Amino acid sequence: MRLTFRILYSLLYILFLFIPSYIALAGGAEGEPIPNTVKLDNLSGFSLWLAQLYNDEKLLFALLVTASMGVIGYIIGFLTDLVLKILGLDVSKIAHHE
Amino acid sequence: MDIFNIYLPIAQQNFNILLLVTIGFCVGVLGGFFGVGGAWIVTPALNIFGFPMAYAIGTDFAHIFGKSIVSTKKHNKMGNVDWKLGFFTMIGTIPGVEVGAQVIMYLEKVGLVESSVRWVYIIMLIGLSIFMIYDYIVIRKKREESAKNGIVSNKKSLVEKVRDIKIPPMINFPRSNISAISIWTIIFVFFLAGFISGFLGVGGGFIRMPTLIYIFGLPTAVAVGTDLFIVMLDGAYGCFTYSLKGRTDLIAAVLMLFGAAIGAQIGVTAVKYIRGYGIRLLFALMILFAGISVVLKQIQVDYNIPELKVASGIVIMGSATLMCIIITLKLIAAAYKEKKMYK
Repeated sequence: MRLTFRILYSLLYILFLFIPSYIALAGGAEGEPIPNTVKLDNLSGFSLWLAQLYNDEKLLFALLVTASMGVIGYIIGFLTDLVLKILGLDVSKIAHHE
Repeated sequence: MDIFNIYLPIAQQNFNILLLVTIGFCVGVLGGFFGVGGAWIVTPALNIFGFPMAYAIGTDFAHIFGKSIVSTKKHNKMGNVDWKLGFFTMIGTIPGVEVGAQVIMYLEKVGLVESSVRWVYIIMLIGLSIFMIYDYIVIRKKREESAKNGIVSNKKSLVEKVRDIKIPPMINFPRSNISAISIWTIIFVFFLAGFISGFLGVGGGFIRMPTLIYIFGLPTAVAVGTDLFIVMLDGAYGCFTYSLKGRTDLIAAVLMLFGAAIGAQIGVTAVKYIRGYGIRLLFALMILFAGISVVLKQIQVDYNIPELKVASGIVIMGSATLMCIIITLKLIAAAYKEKKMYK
């Protein structure tokens, strides 16, 4: 078990080491050049707020997108699970048949 | 259909809500069933329907992250996720991806990147698919016949050979039925898988899933569930980093996620009813069509035939839709049969 944890620590360390170069790559060396800001004309309400956040605070925008996808994914998963349970299509541990 | 159009403030264009939800649904079914992220389906699909390419990959990663949470949670409930193995695979994968990406940088300098990547992609997809179909038709039959006639083969399988490598430290993965395996084997194999994934610039689910089955001997359902856990980690990172570069449209991603989350429930539940070899065969056919789609794209580039770009997109979208229909029908039939049995 101790060995497992030691390896997990090493894994996190490797992740930490490699993240900067991986981030640099993720923007994509190829692909069409895109402007760093979006037009705010004709936008209102949530769309306007989102576009302003995109223009002014890319880090907050990235955190918002990542957190939203995680939370929404979890909520939809929970709700659809509930519906399937009501329909009698609930799953539990399965036996594996190859 | 205009009433279903929505303005996407980041991508700065109108797009059809139903289209986004449907694409999400399709890739949700396939992702939950095969244990892949499905970027190789979504990106060309979005592209065909006029979604700006600059935002397609980031938006795709964002919805993959949300969708894989749904699928991983459900697969875990079915006992199909080996968390420990998932973490260990990352030790080899991360440096592998980095080295693969560095090779791409070099090829870019010498101007060979596009065609090299596409050819390797074609070889990987079609080669893997042929191997899996061969395994399904020939090897499985031989194995079943030997078992029927009580013949014990002296020839070791690839899985046994891999498990026979006894370089310490050894580790066990009870959920995957692995009693002892060298950590170095895991690191080495997933370094190679990561290298290919970094070289091709893809998440790599379509490489990892067969690797877990054919090299490490995992039951198909556990390979699917464990791979989805890795896709989730991958997706979270991809979502964050592409959003930081301003390449994600949140509204489009959320709409796709709605479809994908429902599709993922169908895909994951179908794993309960379809035998491992059935999943493998459908997966082999899916990647074969993906390979054909890339071949069309390559011919389009080489001979400058614009129509083939559309044909390539239609092949990948058409096969994904067909596969979704097959999986959903199989699920309905199996669930109906089960209900009838309990009555």
